[in-house]
Amino acid sequence: MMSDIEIVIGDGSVTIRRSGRSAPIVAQVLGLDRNPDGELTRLWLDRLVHRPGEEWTGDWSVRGAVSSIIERVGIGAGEAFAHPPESP
Amino acid sequence: MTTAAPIPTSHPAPDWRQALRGRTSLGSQAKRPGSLAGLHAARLAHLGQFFTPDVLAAWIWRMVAPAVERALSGDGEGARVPLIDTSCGTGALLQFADPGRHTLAGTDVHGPSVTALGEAARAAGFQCHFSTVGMEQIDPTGFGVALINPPFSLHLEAPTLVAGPATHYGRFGPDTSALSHAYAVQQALTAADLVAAILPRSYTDTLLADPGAWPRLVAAFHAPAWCFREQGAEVRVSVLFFAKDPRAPGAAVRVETLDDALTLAPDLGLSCRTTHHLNSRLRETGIVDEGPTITRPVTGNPKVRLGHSGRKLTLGFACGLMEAKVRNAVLRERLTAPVIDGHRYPKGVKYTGQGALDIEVHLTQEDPLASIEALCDVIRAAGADLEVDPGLLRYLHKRTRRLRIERTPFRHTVLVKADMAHGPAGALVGKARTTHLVDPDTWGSPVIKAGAEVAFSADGSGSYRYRVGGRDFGLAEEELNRRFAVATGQSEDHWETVHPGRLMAFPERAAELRRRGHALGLDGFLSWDYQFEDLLELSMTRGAIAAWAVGLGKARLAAGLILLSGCTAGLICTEAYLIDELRSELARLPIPATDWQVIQSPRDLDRLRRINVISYHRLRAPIHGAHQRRTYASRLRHRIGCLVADEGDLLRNKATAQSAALRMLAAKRRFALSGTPLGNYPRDAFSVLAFTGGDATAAQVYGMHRWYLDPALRQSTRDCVPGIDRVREQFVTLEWVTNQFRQDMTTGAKREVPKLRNLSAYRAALAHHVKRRVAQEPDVARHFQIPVPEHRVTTLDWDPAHLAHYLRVADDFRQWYLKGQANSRERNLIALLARIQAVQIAAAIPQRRSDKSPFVYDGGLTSKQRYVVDRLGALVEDGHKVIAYAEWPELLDVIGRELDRRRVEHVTIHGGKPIAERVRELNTRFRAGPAPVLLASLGVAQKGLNIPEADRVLFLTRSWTAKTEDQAEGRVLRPQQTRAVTTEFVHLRGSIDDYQGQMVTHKRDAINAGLDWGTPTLDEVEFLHLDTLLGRFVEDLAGLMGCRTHEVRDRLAA
Repeated sequence: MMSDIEIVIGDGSVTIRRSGRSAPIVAQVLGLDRNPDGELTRLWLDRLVHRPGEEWTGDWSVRGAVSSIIERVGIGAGEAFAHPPESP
Repeated sequence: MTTAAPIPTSHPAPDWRQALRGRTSLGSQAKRPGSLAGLHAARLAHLGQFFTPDVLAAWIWRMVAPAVERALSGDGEGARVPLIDTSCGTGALLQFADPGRHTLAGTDVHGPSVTALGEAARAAGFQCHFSTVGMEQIDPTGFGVALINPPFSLHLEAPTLVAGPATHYGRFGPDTSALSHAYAVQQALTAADLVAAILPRSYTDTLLADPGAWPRLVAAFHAPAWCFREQGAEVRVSVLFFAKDPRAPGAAVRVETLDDALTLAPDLGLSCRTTHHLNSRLRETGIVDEGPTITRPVTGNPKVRLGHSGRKLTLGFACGLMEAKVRNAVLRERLTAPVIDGHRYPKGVKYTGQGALDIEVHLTQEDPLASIEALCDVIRAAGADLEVDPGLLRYLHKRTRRLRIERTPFRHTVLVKADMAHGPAGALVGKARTTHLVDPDTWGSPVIKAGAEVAFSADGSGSYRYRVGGRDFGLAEEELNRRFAVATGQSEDHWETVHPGRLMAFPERAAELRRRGHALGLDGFLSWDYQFEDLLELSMTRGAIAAWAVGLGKARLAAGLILLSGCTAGLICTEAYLIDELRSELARLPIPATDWQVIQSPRDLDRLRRINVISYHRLRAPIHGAHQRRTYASRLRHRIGCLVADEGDLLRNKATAQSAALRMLAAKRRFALSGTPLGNYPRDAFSVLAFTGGDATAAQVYGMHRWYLDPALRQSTRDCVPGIDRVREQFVTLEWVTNQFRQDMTTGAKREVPKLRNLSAYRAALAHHVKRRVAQEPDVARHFQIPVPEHRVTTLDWDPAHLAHYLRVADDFRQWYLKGQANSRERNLIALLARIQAVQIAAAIPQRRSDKSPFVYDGGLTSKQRYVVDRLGALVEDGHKVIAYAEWPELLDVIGRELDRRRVEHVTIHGGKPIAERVRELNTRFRAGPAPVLLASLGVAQKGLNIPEADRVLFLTRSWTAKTEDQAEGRVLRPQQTRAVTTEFVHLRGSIDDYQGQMVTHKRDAINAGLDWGTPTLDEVEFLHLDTLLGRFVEDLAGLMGCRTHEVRDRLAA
């Protein structure tokens, strides 16, 4: 399921506009990762802003079970760590 | 491009939907279906999407406009009326809205339509919320007007449906299934003040037929036939209007038919509210913006603590960011709806990584500690400074040790028949039981004829090789026994120990328990070696089923289990009428009187003794009438160290008050005693197993409330299934089943064949939970002999008047049943049992009158009743003491009156008499007195009583379960029995007696195969359902009478 999303990253918060919805979702940013060039690669939000199995069109992808993690598509890994390893 | 219909308000809004007007609905593009099956397929393809014609939308808008105008003018500046369409498509019903006067919300499963509509609405300046989800995924509230044209007759099935008049039992449980148009109405009525709904005419007629059930329905307008013709659909629809408040008392629903021009547009006096009074929300399930899920502040402290609470692994955090990182790393993703049709997830399963937080899942891994360590790696990789609670590791070590014992089967000795292959064997010759294909899955497989002899050689791994038609084949032992009777190569019938047991596997633990048992003097009253050995073996784990056959000393075992457990307070629960027997038994044991008590009043709960005895009736009863929820069980909660549930097979029904009371106790050790632990069907064992062995634990993987504990859950829960589904799929033979039955295997309806699937897996599942003993096995027979009863069935002919009466009732049942097959709502066990009971009564006691039955019998004693009285008289004359069982107390009374006439002394016991009176009469007049006949109802005399004074058992009626008949017969099969025992069943030819007899035989065969490793002898025998059997009976009668089946009843009546 592809969804059209518009993301505006603010100071400590992210505003997400979904196609067809006039009211934006505002989520607090718990933390973020940057790559060595200082570009944002990953944001940890305090809530779920995506549906299970949903994919976003555009520059960002989303995942997360209990809160949303949004990641920049096509930019190198963050400085902290890559994706957590899968369980055995 | 089409143009907009005239805007029917005094405030014409710009045509904001102009860009969408060229779009066509999926329904209008679909081919016309040629059949009902085609219609179903077409609905799935076009999602029921038919756009509302502009002219009809304009008319509906005209009808609701007055209410909207009134609301806006009343609330003044800034007020808007929130509108919703739950299957909005491209927004045809919302097209006349104005951004300054309305807000918009809508959902539809068709993404392109919703996206285009959302963009157009936002561009026009609307406050709006559109979403690409089905109506089953939202729970909207706070709207002024709902304008809906839902898809018709689509079957919605989702756990997210909200319960209401439109929902019914689905595969996800109660209220998880609905028809789309009915659910849309239910949802709109909850969401909005005013509802305008386009609905199928047939559904409208249903609503109008019961206007009392729809108090908000004020008007229904039947639309002209042309409405959806342009969309390619020939469908008759009506437009219904539901007001904000219920109709005035006595007010009728206005019903009109619209002309082709839709000229009729009365003001219905409707009303709605605006955004000043409403907070409209679409409330999508699974998403979103329902507030933060991580509320802990971000502190930068990376410490994470891993501990446990029961079976749940717990995570403790000091920082919100770390919590988000770790939880998402462990739980990975939320589960989406299952893609496989018919698959469902157990309750509470939400995440793919959820298995990692269940200790039982780790314990199922080859190396549980390595599995936990891998979880720790994931947590550390998320950046955590992990601290593992030392108590967790201690607990894991302890559980791993305990699991080794729990997974070891109990010692079990079974009878190996001479015609069965079993265990290590050399060459043997088998005689084919039936004509069969050697390999049924292969075309051109050789055929073996019934009676043909085939030579087998053992391959050393439990299977056998044989050669037919020049080709080699292999057969597992179980299959060999099913297809062949071993003719040579085996010895005679012999007892063989199939599992050596836990005492041999863990000799040190056994020696420690043995020392304790001796020190406590338990070998003094569990003096026969099998009793003491079984006590030790059962006590090696925290729960099990002691499936001792009747008469082996279960009362003593109960006391021994509690004493050996070392707990300060143990509890024995039993039936109320067995309390006195148990009291006498305990009084005979060398246990100080101060160490045990029978709980009879709330005062007895204040100071519990080492052994406490309570009846199930008392356990579930409230302590005081004013506080119904404060029961004896709730007062005993968490105070019982060792619980022994006598006749523990009653736990098979999870929903009963006594099962709930036993669970309420939360005892540390739980044992169930039952000679018939499988209850009615072999599947019943799993509910008892879940109680004694844990629900979806590493030792007992079939969860009755949870999932089936598969080791693969450690990797992902995506394929997990409820344990109950696994039991059904693996072991139960069903022809059809309702969703309600699928859910709990207790309620609802089904057509089940009492045959066990996957015998070896079933035996393996029971082996480490059930400690089985039968009276005939050598370890027991060494100490005492219980005779094996002889069984006789006497079949009698009918009296014509009785047969005519029976046929009327039976035919009524059959007609009802066949009609019910077309209507699943009529399929429920309660209705079925009530109907079947009428047939049973017509056969056994037609003199019984019922207000509900139109059929009256005015004959005298039936042929069976006369026979029973004669037979009892003859047995008494021969010097026997006889127990005669019947289902119905009225039948016992009829027989009792006849015996009185013949001056044959008898005692009658049934549920209508107080327990004390029953026990007194039984003991003084029958057991120790002169009365030679005991007339007993099956309900009161089937369990626990010792009546070895009788040596003849007569069943006047059959039961539905082998357990009931075996238990009833077992009253005379005690160690004290000195004479040969004969059990007689009396059937009326072709009646329901035959059906019940067949049912009991099949159940006994399946239970015997599963529990006692017997060879299923009826696997190849067709199981005849009641309707078939009744049909054949009437056909046979017609053949005898030389008439057609439908003439039989009239002929007999004449």
